[in-house]
Amino acid sequence: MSRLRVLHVITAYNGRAFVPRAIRSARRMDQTAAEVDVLILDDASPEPGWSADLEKICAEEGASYYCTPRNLGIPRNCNLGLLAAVHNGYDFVTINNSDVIFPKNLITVMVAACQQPKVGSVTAWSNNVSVFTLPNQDPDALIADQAAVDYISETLHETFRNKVIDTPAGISFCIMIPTAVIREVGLNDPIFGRGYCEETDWSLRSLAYGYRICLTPSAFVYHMGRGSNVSAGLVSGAHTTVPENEDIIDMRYPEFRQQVTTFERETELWDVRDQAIDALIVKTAGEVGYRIDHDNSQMTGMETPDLVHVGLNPTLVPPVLSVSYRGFTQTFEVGLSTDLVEIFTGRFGRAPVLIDGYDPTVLKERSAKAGRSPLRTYPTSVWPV
Amino acid sequence: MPIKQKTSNDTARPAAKLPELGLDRLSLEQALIDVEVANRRVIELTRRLAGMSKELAALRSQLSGSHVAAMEREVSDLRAQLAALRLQKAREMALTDRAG
Repeated sequence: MSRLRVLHVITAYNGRAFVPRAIRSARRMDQTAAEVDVLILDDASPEPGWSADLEKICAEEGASYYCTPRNLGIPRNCNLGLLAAVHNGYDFVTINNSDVIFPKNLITVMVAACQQPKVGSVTAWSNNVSVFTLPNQDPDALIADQAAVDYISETLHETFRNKVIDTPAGISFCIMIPTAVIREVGLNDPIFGRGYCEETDWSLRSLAYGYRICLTPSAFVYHMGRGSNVSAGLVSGAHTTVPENEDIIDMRYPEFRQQVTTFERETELWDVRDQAIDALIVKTAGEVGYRIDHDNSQMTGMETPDLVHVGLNPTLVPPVLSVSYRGFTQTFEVGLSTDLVEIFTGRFGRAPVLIDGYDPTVLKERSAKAGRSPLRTYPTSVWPV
Repeated sequence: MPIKQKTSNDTARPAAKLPELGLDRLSLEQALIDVEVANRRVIELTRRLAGMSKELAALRSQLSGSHVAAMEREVSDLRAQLAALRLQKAREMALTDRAG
């Protein structure tokens, strides 16, 4: 039996600051489950000289490059990737944003998910994909790092294996589709112009053909979010979508908004989110270590990013205890007299590697430099849970 | 705006290592299909717009016609009421004259 083939498409529009990172990240993905070719589709980036530079970077990194003769907009640029995969005999195609970092295990996880019965598309999990988000307090500071993304994704894979969650629609920031499904469902509708909502329309069409739209919690992709779309003027800083495209969705699928509301209310994703954050914290604390700070009100989470941070904020009433790994956080209300060392030594099976090991002056200076308060507020539940 | 195209001569790695995906051909073919679809949509929308304009004009005319008919009926009723009042007034005056 011949090896499965994946065409991994990254759509780009300007993005000098982040596209090279995405390409390097894509080229180092594990290819055990399938052979992966990386294709960059440059949608006629207007920044002078950038397209030539990007072509050079692609050649150096071993990725294919194509620059459209004129700007097509996201839906039609993505369609080029879908067509390239269908016409060149690939088994799967992934359509990706360029403001991302891919985990090493991405293709392995997504191919396995796509091979489950009637799965028509699989979206990866991320810190910034609307309702399908694994929330993070400060993703750009804490997880925009290849090693961190690999570790997070591998931990989630160990936790969830081949689990998929059915969702109302897909998100094309990182979506895998079997080419057989594209042959049946077709391409994105160019009516969506420069983009937004085209993947909702496509995935709802796939649903009408009897295919499942799924999210895999076992692959985590870091996503800056809206980087290229804001810079392209496609959406304003205040908007996350294009209202006229939403009108088309409302007209074509009048039930869709209600389906999303029901999904948000009833989804198992809430439990899966809790399990994911718990898995990251327990594994890291046990294998790498953790620290305890009895006053974390001036801390940013960047002090020792590889450790789990257990910290009490005594300035809040009642005091809030946060347990956090790189911004993935559980919070609880506790009493000031709670013996954190005893509790967490029991929970993690080992003593903390550091207790109150920070210099508040340094932290204050750092937060002043960053121009923001390191103090964050979290939703809380009651300890113990 | 100059058309940007792939220039494989500039690449550092041999082009043979990368798959030849035929993107120029696919892009052109799909652009022509998209134009065809857009044209069909414009024609269909124009047909629907023309049809709905006609329907709107007919409804306006119908509404206007029924409105005039209602007004005519109302005028006719008022005229009949006025004639009856005049007749009654004349009878009252005749009775008054006889009594005087």
